[in-house]
Amino acid sequence: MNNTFNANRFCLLLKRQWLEYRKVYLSSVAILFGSLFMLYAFSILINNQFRFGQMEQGYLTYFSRLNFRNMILMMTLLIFLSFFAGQHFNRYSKTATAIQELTLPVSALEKIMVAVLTAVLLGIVTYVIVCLTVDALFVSILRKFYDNGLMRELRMVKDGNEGFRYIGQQMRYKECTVFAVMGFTLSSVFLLGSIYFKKLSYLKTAFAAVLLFMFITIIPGTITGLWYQDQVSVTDYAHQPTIPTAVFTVLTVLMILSIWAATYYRLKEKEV
Amino acid sequence: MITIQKASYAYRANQTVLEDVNLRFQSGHIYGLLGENGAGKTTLLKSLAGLVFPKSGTIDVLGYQPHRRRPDFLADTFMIPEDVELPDLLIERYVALYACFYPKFDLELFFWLLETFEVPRAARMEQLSFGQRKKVLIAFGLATKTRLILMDEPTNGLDIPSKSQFRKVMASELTEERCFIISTHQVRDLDQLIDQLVILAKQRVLLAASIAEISQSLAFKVIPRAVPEVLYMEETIQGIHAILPNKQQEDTKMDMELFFKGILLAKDQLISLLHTNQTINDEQYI
Repeated sequence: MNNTFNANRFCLLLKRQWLEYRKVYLSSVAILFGSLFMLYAFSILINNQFRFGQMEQGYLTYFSRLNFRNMILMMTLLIFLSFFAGQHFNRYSKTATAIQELTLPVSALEKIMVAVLTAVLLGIVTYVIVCLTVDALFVSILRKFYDNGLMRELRMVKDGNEGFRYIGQQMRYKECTVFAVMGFTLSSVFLLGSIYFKKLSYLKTAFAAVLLFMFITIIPGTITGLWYQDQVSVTDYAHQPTIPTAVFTVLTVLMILSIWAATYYRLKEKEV
Repeated sequence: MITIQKASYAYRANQTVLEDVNLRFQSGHIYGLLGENGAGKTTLLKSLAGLVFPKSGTIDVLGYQPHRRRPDFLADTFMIPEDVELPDLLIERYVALYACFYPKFDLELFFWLLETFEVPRAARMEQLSFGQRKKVLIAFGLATKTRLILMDEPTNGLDIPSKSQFRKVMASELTEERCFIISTHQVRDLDQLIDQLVILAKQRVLLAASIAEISQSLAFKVIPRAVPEVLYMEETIQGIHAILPNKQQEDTKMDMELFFKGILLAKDQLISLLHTNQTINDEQYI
């Protein structure tokens, strides 16, 4: 018997994971769908001052922009992916269930592969599909209004926009990259946290993540600001050198792989 | 089957749970692991299952180092913890999901054991009481046919008829290749079940001997009044329950609870009479 990786054991573990956690998964998807739906509806109806009675008067200035989407997507991404990945190893938090998990005849490599597949990749794919679905639903409805002439005034006030665009059409490569990096990093960090911390793992991971974020962004920024507070910036932002895409991709992939490796070793060395 | 050499465990730097433990367990036996609260029974079981790692010393189980948790080692070992929390599934679904990880799993035996324990096979785990869930896990563990079964307080939560059933099925499932190690502080539950005894006290092995050896050296009697030869005694309504030297080689039934109390309170007198392979202060193996 191969003690490092066995395809049969891996498939059995994957099957067990799905059958045991499908309720949690389907509930999470339903909650995500519902939350996005409500946030879209709320933002369109309230934030953009959508009023049927005022259509003829051309008050729908922001209606065609749907400019709330990035904020909503970022917010739901943070909550959904952190929760989804953060509960993956929750059976390791109680002694009784942790004993069953740790004595299950599978290798640590098989466990971490199932974890990455179900908690990280499945979470991200699910998130993308649900977002695109909710977005498509709302954009289709808005386009129908548009096509039926109910929003003809909109053409005059849309500031050069092309009407209602799907999020997939609107997002630029840079925005997609930011979302992808955030999604993978967040899922991986919370996956590590769920095995690293025994109790209150979600809260502790969130706290650690916030501290880390502060450490790598706010603190250096503040120190730099204090250092240069009496000096005038002469930086030419237009020609400022940026990190090449390839280097950025490699660094990101390395960081995510390192988090997965840390999760693997933590799982391997886990004691109860 | 199992060899532990100079093993020590500590959860924190100055909180030693087990110290300098030397033990050897053989197949074909049911071992009773006794000790007061905090003596290190659960830690010893966990160490055999690879759930805690020794601070020092070596431990060999079925030819493997348990802490490495290799799948083929885990497929031949099963641990039943004191607290049982099973996923909220139908029993049949649970078995379908988990049995496939154990190559020797005997499905017929599992359902027969459930029937013996009077647990409805079509039930959901959530609908079962704590005792019933424990019985499901005991049935599952025995049906895995693993060579080593470790049980931590298995009779906790079981009613009196179930305790009796438990003893019967345990005895019936023991084979020459298998070894059962049962940790408990409910000493009477192991009466007529175990054939080997390991007693832990103050983080060390106080005694490791077979029931036959103990019975050969000591006699357990109810006597009307105290006599000078008594090694340890307890007064009850029926008379004085006493442990005496077995000079006449009488065949008396060992009173496990009395012996356990006696070994803790009158260690030196009792151990000096156990003249065979018993372990004192971990110097020998059983």
